[in-house]
Amino acid sequence: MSFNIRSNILSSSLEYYLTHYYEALTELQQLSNPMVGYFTNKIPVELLDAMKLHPVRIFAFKHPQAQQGAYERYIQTFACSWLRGILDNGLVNGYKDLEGIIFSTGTCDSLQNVSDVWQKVFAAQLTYNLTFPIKSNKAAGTYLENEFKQIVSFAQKHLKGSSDFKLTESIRKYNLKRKILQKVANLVSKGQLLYVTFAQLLYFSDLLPVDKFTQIFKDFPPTNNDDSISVTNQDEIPRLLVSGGMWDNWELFDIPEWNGLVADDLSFGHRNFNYTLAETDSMKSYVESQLKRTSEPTAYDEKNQRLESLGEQIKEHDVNGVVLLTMKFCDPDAFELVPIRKYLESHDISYLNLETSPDISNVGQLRTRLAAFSELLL
Amino acid sequence: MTSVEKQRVYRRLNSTQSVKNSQAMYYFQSKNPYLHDEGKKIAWITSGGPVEFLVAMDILPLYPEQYGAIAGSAKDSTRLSQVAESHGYSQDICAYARTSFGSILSPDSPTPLSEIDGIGGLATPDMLICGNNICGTVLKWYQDLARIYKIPLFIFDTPPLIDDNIPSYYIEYLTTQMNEYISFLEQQMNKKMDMGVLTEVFQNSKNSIELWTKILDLGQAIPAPLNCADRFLLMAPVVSQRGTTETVSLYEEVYQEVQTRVDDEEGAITVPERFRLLWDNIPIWFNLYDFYNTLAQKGVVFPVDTYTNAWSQNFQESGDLLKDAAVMYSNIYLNKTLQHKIDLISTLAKKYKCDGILYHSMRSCKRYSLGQPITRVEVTEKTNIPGTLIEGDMNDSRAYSEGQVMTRIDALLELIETQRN
Ligand code: SF4
Ligand code: SF4
Repeated sequence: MSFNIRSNILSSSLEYYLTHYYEALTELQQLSNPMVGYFTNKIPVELLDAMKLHPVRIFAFKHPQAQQGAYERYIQTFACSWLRGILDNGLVNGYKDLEGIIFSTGTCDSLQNVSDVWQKVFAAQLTYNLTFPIKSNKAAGTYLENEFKQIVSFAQKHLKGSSDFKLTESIRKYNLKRKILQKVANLVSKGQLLYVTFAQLLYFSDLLPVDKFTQIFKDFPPTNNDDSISVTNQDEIPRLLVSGGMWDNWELFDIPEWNGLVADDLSFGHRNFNYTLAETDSMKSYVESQLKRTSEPTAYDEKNQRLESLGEQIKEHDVNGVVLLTMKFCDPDAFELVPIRKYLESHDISYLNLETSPDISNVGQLRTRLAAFSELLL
Repeated sequence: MTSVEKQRVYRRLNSTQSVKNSQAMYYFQSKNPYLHDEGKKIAWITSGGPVEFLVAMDILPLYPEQYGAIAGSAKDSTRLSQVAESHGYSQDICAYARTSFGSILSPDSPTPLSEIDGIGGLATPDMLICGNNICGTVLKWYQDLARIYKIPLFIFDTPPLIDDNIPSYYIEYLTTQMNEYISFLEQQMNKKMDMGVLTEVFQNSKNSIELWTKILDLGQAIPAPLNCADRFLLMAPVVSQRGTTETVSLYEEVYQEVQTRVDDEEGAITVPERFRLLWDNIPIWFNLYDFYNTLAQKGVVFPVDTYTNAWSQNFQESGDLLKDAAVMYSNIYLNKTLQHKIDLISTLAKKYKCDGILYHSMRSCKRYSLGQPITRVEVTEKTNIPGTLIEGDMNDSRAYSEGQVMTRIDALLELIETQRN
């Protein structure tokens, strides 16, 4: 299969899958390995794949039959809007196509409590709580290695995980996937692909089995790519970078006001593909390699890398302005906002804070503010 | 409200004054300008942080959360929260954190810590100690404090306990951190930790906690000798000064007085006790006495709550101090599952012969509050004791509507009454 990056075939195919996410899950359940759902970018997807499980990311995409606010029977309105959406969707069919769900601690209080609530509401579903250290030193490594071993034995026992365990191969596949995404991110930076299409591709890559994804996209982008062509006239619009947390609704980016978006600093964007893991069969080395990743600032930015890495990205992509995207009632987003603002102000970089929820109910207001921001940058 | 309605219907404890005095002295010492010359330093620490190590190293522990409670009781927390918000902190984050940031950033003087505190606010820290056994929020909060003050931060990481079987590698991770913590403090203080002193401090802590637990246990008596507001005030030393002999003596005094009340069948409220309710969560600090007094007028007393109970945890003595401390500091209420909360609330409600349960649903504290709708249903299923959720906040008065709260409580009281008949 080949895609023409300047046509909208890629975008419309991806859009089709993403808007039919729940049907896609049902279909995948027939076709792929047993599926295991997850919420955060810390999940050791390589381990799951090595056990011939198919890790799929749980999104807040609205289920067509979801009743908004159904969650209120179980959890209060000040839980983060992302998880509230996910609970509403789950209440329709309990993610019945998944063999089980893996929660990860050490992200935020909302997720921690929702994992408890989930086990009550969906008592029939197999869930596992992977407790992550928030440090990355030797002691944390030993701890995490044990936690990973525990999840392997749980998955093999309860989630149909295979004992024929080939970690190196799985790491290689995911490294390839990340490399592909890095290449596509480059196209976005050069203005040859709209960010919205890239976001769709990112989300799609977390839904499709990794072998399939790498097989389809291994030659993407085409090498005969003509550098002189761009999807927008880059001289007329400011170059933007979006920074935030676990945002997952590509539709937000599907408006012309985002045409200048050239890079992201999001949990499931850049922070989920900006690394390569050591290809190894040893659990110890795998853990070490995981802990060397840029720390995910959601819970705690142990290595104080968030600001530095944001600064590097701004330079690398020649960004004119930063959009700080915060999810309603997301504590980590809210806390991060303050130091990021200070940092941007001290470096004379313009920014705009947009707060919304996965249903982007305030899209009109967002558009106006984005348009005004872009005008200011010109 | 008429003067009759405003009438005070609670009994004051004499020993409350001793606790207040002791707290005043403690904060007074923290403002000692010669503190550093005397070889001491100041650490800000989270309420679940391992404080004994600081005491043993001559480091004065101060609690931004406790400061939040003080500012709340002084009805200054909403103002301080607004100051924090004007500096970019979201109204959706924990109001203790906002109060703390507000007190640092406020152009006016922050809330005084006691009647003898002229300066207001917590003394500036030399280091920060953060334990995430109470919530994830403190990680972000303390990281920001470290950036603001540009001082070292030690994190004591306690991944949540998923069930009662604590794996050995978990204990190992925590025990290693206890050693790292000691090295960190030794570096900050430029001296070695005296393990004998540390053992003594832990012994004081253990004694304080045991006495505190005995004081709480007395609440089972009818009429209840202590109401919520009493316990919330009395708990200050077990949080911030539990490693000292002074706290042990203080709690001996409190225990004697409460025991006398029990012996004399004297209740915490001066009107006949009609409803015994369990309180779940942090109190409404900015309305502390008014709230419980208004309810006391209806004969409502709170013989037990989950908040002050969180400090009744004690540690096992296996002979390995650091390991025991590691287990104790991970095995706490907010580091455990919702099921654990359900079980504990059910046990406490029965043990203290409660007729109903009030769940304070606080937008500030997601870790404590999220899931209360399920807790309410399951606890009632288990115990047959009804409960209701009231919406509010410990420190942000903008999130609290007295009319709505009282309507809900009245409905609960009516239900209890109906069930009785
Ligand atoms: S990090 Fe934010 S968006 Fe993600 S689960 Fe936690 S509160 Fe929700
Ligand atoms: S979020 Fe809750 S537990 Fe954490 S500091 Fe605030 S009030 Fe305390």
